[in-house]
Amino acid sequence: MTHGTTVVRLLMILLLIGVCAFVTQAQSQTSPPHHAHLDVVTVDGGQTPDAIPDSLAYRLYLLSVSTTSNPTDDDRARQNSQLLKLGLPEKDRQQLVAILTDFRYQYDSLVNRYNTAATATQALGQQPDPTVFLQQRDDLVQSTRDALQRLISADSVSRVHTHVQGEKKRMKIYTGGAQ
Amino acid sequence: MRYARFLILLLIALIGCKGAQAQICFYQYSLNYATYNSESFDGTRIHTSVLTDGAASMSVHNTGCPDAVVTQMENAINTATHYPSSYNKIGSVGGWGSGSSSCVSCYLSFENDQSVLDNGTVFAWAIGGEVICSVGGTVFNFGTITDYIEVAHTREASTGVQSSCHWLTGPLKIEDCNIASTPFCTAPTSPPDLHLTPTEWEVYPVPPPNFWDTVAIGVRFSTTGAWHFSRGVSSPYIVPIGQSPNPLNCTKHP
Repeated sequence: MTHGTTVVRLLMILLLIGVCAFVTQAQSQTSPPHHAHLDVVTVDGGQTPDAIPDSLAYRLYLLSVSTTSNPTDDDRARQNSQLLKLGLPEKDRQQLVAILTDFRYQYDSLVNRYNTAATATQALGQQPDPTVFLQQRDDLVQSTRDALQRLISADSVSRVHTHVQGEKKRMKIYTGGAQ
Repeated sequence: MRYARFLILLLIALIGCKGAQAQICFYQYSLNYATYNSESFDGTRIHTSVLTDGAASMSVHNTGCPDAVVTQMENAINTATHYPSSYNKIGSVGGWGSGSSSCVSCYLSFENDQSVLDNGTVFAWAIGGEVICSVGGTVFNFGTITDYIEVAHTREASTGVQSSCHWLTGPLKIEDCNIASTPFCTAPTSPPDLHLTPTEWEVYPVPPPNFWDTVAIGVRFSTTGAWHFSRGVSSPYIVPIGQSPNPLNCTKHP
């Protein structure tokens, strides 16, 4: 074996190592820009309103129509225009506004408490368990519906319920995995 | 012969390297979001809202990545943040709005509100949203759609047919009924976009009007599709004594 042959073989081996390293590098990178949503299931209330659960529909509606305890003039105008769609007697409308303000205060408090705890848990490298929070969230929606039943007339409760059912067509749910 | 051996070795090397394909690690999310879009009219302004509510969890999908890389990515999750963005643009007003950043498992609830003065035209209403991760980029994009909004006015003429009459609860003796009607619009604006019937009116002790004007906000999902109106607000149209009722130039955007 000549010295020249050895050099050529050495070069070949180095080339092969280089090719392998290049392919490995190109294929083993982390890939956060991937945004395939193949496993995400979308429930479109516009197509299948019955597939939107009442508890979710009420939660979204109550959130959207409620204001904080210190609403701006714009917040009040928006809320008034949203409540106008219900056609409630003035007494029931005022009672509903009070129920909505209470709901929003409790909802924001609940979310803030959970997020504070979740942030602390995550900082320790642990995964927060949202089970209790989600149950409390749904319980709050149910107790708000119960308050409606107690505090406004049956006709107004019926109007609110009919309206929320109609609003399901403007709601969507996204669940599943994404990457 | 030397080159043939080289090609065989190259082929073996490439096949061997193909195993590296499995060494992919990336962030993956488990989503649970809900969105709700709504519109309303306060008499002068149109209000629109786009709400995003929910949460995601985040982990590292790992198929053979070096431990050091996985550990680095997992550590990044512990300090990463997510924030929601909602797109709400009516006519030329509004656009993207973003909620505050919070931990990747935190619960997000954000609403982008906009309003615009009604001018009798049809407004394009663009709606969308996404959730962004500080280390993983877009967690999820809800897509963007364009709906169309108008505030419609229609004059209704009572047919006199009453239904669902009921006495209101309270100290006063008041009876309400649903009263059927037909549109009463000028020829060029007939048929109008909006025709809501029946309409609930007091029939006792104050008799119901013969004509009334109804205003309602409507949405359609294409430039020429059917309008979908929510509950309207009606006020009596009083015909002066000795005069004939005038049809209204009703809203018509076919």
